[in-house]
Amino acid sequence: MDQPRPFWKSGLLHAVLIGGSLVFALPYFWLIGTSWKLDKEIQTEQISIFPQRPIAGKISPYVDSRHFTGFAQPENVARHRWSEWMQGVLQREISAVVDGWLSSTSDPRVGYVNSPVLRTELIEGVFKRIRHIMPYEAWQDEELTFTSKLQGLLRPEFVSEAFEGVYRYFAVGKVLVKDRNYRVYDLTGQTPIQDLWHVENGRDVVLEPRVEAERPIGVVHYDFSEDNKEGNGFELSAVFDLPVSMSEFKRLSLSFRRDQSWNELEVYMEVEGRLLKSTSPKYLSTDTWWEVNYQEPSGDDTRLTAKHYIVVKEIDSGPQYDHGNRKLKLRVQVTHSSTAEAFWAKGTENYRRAFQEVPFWRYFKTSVFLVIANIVGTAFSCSLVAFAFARLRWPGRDLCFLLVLATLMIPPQITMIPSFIIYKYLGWYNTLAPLWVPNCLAVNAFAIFLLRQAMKGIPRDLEEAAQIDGCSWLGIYWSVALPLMRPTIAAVSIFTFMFVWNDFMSPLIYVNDQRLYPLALGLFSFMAGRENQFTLIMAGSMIMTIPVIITFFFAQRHFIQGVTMTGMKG
Amino acid sequence: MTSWRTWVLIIAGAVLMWWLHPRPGSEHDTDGTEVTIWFNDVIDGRHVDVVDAFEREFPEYKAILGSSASRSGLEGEGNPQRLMCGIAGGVPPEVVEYDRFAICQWAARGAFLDLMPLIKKDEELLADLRKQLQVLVDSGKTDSEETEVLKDRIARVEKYQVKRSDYYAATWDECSYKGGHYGIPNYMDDRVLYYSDDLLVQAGFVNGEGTPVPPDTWEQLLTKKVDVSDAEINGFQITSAEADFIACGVRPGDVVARVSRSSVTRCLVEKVVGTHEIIVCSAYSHKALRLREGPENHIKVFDQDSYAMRLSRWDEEGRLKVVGFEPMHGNGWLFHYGWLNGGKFMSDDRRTCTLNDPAIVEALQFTTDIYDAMGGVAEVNAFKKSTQNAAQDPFFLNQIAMFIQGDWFLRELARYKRDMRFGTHSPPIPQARRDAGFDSLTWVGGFAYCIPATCPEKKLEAAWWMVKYLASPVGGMVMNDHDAQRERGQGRVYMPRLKANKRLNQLQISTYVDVPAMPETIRAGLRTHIALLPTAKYRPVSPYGQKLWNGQADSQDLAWNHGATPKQALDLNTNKVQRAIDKFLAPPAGPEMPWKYVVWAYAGLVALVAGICYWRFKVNNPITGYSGKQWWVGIVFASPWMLGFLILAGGPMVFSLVMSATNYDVISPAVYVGVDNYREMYTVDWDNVGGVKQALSNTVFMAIGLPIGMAAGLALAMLLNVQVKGMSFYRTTFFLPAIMPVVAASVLWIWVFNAHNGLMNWLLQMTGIESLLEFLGVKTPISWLTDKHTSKPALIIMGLWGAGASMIIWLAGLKEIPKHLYEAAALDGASVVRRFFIITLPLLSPYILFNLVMGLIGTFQIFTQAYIMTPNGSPERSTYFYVYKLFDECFSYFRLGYGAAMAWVLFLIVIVLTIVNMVASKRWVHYAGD
Repeated sequence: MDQPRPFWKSGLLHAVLIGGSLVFALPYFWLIGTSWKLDKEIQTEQISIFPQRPIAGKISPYVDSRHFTGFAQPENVARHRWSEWMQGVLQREISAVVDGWLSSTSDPRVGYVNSPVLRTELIEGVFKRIRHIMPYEAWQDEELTFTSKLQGLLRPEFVSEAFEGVYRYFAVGKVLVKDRNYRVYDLTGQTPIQDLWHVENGRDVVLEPRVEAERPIGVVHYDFSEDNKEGNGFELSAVFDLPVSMSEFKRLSLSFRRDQSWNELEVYMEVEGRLLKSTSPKYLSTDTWWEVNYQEPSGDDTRLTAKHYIVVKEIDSGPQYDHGNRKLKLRVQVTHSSTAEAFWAKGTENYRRAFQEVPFWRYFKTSVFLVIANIVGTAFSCSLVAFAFARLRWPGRDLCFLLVLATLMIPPQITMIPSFIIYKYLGWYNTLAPLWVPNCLAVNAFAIFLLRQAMKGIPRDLEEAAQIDGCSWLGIYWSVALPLMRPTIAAVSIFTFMFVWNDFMSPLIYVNDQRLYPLALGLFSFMAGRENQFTLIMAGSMIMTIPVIITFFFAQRHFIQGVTMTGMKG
Repeated sequence: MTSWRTWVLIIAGAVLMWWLHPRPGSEHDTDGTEVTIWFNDVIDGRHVDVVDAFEREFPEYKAILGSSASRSGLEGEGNPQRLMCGIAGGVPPEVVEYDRFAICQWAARGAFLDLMPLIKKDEELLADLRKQLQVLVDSGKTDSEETEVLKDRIARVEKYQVKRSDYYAATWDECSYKGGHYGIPNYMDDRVLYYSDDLLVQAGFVNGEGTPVPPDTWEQLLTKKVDVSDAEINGFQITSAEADFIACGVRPGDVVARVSRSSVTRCLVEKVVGTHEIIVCSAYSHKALRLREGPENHIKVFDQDSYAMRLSRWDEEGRLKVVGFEPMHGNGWLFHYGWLNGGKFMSDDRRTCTLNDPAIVEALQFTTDIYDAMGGVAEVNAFKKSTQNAAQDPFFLNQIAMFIQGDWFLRELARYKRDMRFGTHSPPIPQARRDAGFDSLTWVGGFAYCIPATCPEKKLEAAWWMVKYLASPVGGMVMNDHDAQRERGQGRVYMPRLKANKRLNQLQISTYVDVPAMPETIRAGLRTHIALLPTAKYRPVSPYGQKLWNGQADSQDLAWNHGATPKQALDLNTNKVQRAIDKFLAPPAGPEMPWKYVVWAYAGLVALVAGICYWRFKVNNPITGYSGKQWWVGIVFASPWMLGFLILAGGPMVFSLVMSATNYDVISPAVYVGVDNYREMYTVDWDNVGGVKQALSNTVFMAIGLPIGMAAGLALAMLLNVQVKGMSFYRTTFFLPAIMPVVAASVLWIWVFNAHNGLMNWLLQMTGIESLLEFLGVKTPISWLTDKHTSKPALIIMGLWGAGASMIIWLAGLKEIPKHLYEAAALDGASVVRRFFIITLPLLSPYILFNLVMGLIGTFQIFTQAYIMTPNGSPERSTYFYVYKLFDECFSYFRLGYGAAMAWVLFLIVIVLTIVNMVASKRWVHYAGD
């Protein structure tokens, strides 16, 4: 194959390779795409393949113009009816109700955001509602009947409900404290918000007190659009009396209403002369109330688990952080995100959660340990044994080989309990030993069989030449067989790697202590604990997969090396 | 390689491994009685919190939080492998949270402790303490220190005391068996009817004020007017001597379902011509009606104005868009429908299975009718799989109007769809039952805390305190609060799950539900759920509960797919369950298995075999020759394997072989039964639904995939073996499917195979294969996973996509082929094809043999795909493979002896095939080294 391939041939080859790659990688695009989505994008009627683009918000409160999507023609309406009169009737009737509501409403929030965009959104929102409740047959009615039915259905409440759907705002709400005895204290209660929170370092930032769900909240009006790049943001602060001493203090929960602006939120706590800061920033990613939990690491956290709180750490100390006995000063900092930052924040949202909530590096280390131990153990022990089966003659060889295969033929489900009993007697329960020692004892029949097949292919003359040179059997194994087995050992290693890396069933059975969990089981627990939080599951799967992809990418080089060597010596 | 570098490498490697190895250290410095608890779920923050809080409250005890008792969550439910291993291995926990439904299966076998004496003891203790207090008070020491201590003690015992009156009756009784009480209930769930307000409004099911009105009775849900099996079909004309269409009130527009074994055809009544004759027309404007004349002339006519009919919608092509009532979606089971109709699943003495109670037959008939009226269960399933993008419930999207679901759905609604306009209602019941004065009802399930019988005496008190703490409102609220913070941390409203403890339930409702943030619809939903609790049913407490459960599920599957009439299906499964009951009530008598001798026998056998081998070797190779002298070298080389085999692999194999001759359930001692297990396999358990024959033939069918998979892998490897720029990248992408995590892959494949907008059908359509199939009479679009004819091929296709794994092996093989052979052949003028056959194939033959043997072994053990993708081997057990059945026998029905027998039969089959292969391989496999 020394002469270059003809043009059409290599073109065809590339076409096949690229096409095949696309088909085989397609699910990965889907997996990655889903891991970039938010819950909201999954639980929707119009599911899109691509994740939604985040928009970095500059002004708040504002109207989300993407919440409702236009006037779509219902499936059961004929096209001509729709374009000839139905769309017009709907537009006219709904606009009338919306305009009436807009002019009569006394809600101050409408005043903040009143604009043509709001009107369009409200009309779309009411239309969506109408589509949901219009009697099915009514869509086939004549214009007059349809109009009167429509008028009968339309209500001003639909407009205010649509308004709730599109109004985005940032607000602070209640503050809770949990003590080490798991008692919960409400620090805010019914205290008016202006007595608690103060705006600092913010230009044109106004704190508007409101009552929502029977509790006082503070809506923050801000406008970053005219600011220059420096110091884009504001800070809120409040001082609270702590109901418990700091030694009994466990966790602080702060409630925020997010405005989907993807702006960054950081929390500082000043207490007893110490300044504590959250270790990971949070983003105002969606449009719901949201409670952020902050907790300082302590000696009590010996049990590892998925954390649903953000760890805060001391970053500074000094008298300026002392506000009196049992006084806690909270500072909430909101910083404007650029478009790039918003994309980054959204793309990493699910991944950050997985990393933050799972003791990732600890589990990762355990997994790497298991993978290395298993690969090295399997490669050496199985190649040694395979050598004995392929190249040596000894009593009972063929029977033993059949026994090797036989171990594969009994379903593992049935040997699980006896195996467990044996491991327990060996004192291996709740240790990592059952997960790697067996592989060092060549229990991997698959690898033995594959290596045996490969070793049988080594030409006899190679071996005889080595013997004439005075090589011992061990020498032949080490310097003749092993180098030639490189591609096969690479294949075996990849399989071992994949199996060990993804296995969570054996750790679940043999390991009782979570601190011994490998990553597969750790992430599985994380995902299983979050039931059908699809986006997180996809992010977790992605995290599991990436090391395998990278390893494979580099390991498969060995296939190429195999060629030259065999070519020369064969 | 034997230079100092090797040593540096080894030392560095050892240091690295030492650093990587996790060091758990001790959990706590405090000493105290250690109690281990296994929760049912994977360990989560709430478990950590509650265990922490327990230790704070009871510093004298130390709680150890173990991994979950069963493998649940993303991959199947309630797989008790871990608890079984723990019990068999002698390392069970002291407290375990377990499915109440399954408790009896363990308790009846003596695995759980009767908690009644502990409850009684607490009562006595309390009475005693109160008496002591009274004595003190009477003697005037009201303020003494002694009195205070006593009062504190009383308060503490009272605070956590378990009282039956605190629990909903059904949840309590579900833990009782034969006078004993084996668990303290915690979670509870019950089922009601959920309906979409919008869809009911659209269909006009509203009262005067425009409020939606849900159905109360089965008849409102669906009225069947005619059901005859003597219909004569002649084009659009249907005549039947048996039916009186006029008297039955059939009118134009009513729905006609023509039912046959293979399919259900749905059409509409166009005209009632006479008493015995109607004319039908297509139900879908774009689709012509095709009524074939055939031997199966079973038709049903349904009232067009029933809820299920008016709420359901199809597009013009006949694809379902909205399902009016889905009997199975959510949590609708034959158990529920049977109870609603007054059925009874088991006699009071728990000795007779009454699954084929006429009331239950009627109930099954009713749900079957609903599916038929909608065009057959396959049609509805295809629709469901297509909308259920795993995380999306079709109900959220207004694609299912009504269904039966448990209270956990309220949590989903609170999480994802707070603005959903929906309502809840007690499940509809038959009109006749209503007339007879019966009310609607629900049934409960859930979990409970148990203490395994192995709990040592000295830990019992600690374990009991832990159970009481966890089940109490105090412990319950610690867990609730954790979850509430987590949910709110994601911007959601926290909706607690129902609890069996009434006080806890009340407390959590006032804390989390009766708050302004909780939408009124969800609060109302919870009220519906709670209102039905006092009369709730629960699944019969029986040691073969799982068998009964699977029996009712199988009956549904069979009847809905018209594999049998409801009566036949139920009769069949009644027999199956009854057999299990009889077997349990009269366990085979026999001597206990003497395990000690088994170990000795094993050792003896090994020695004997080794001796024979050596002797034979000596006879055949007199120890003079070159290889004969060094016979021990082979042994030394193989010694790692020998050690591993003798201890780790051979032992369990022998154990399972012995187990196959016993009646063994892990908990009670194994009893020798001879070949009974093997006999059962080919007698009673051979030829029935979910029997050995079916499982075996399903498995053998999958062997079709073996050659296809090998060819695909080889083709892929050859393609990826050419030298092209960026080959590393291509290889990696082709390998991707093989490494996709199972969890993500299962979701993905459900999407690929869904009937309406899945990738697979799209490909078929694009390539024109679909029209070819249509021409051949195959019903399109194919609903891959929900049709019993295509479910196995779908799994085969799924396997092909992962051909990247076998590709690696082929690739390794290809790389071993010396390149000069090709060059020589090319010089001789051999074509590419010829080169493939004279060089590639022969030199690859060792790898072909390898893939063949391994593929065979793998095919016969196929399990995981089916377990995850097609639970219970659905539809109609078409993916119930041999190992799946084995797994069920072992871990669902506690019949490890039988499972072991199955395993050894499988072993025999596979080893015979392998030996045949290996022997035959001498003719075609070419080893360069020979």
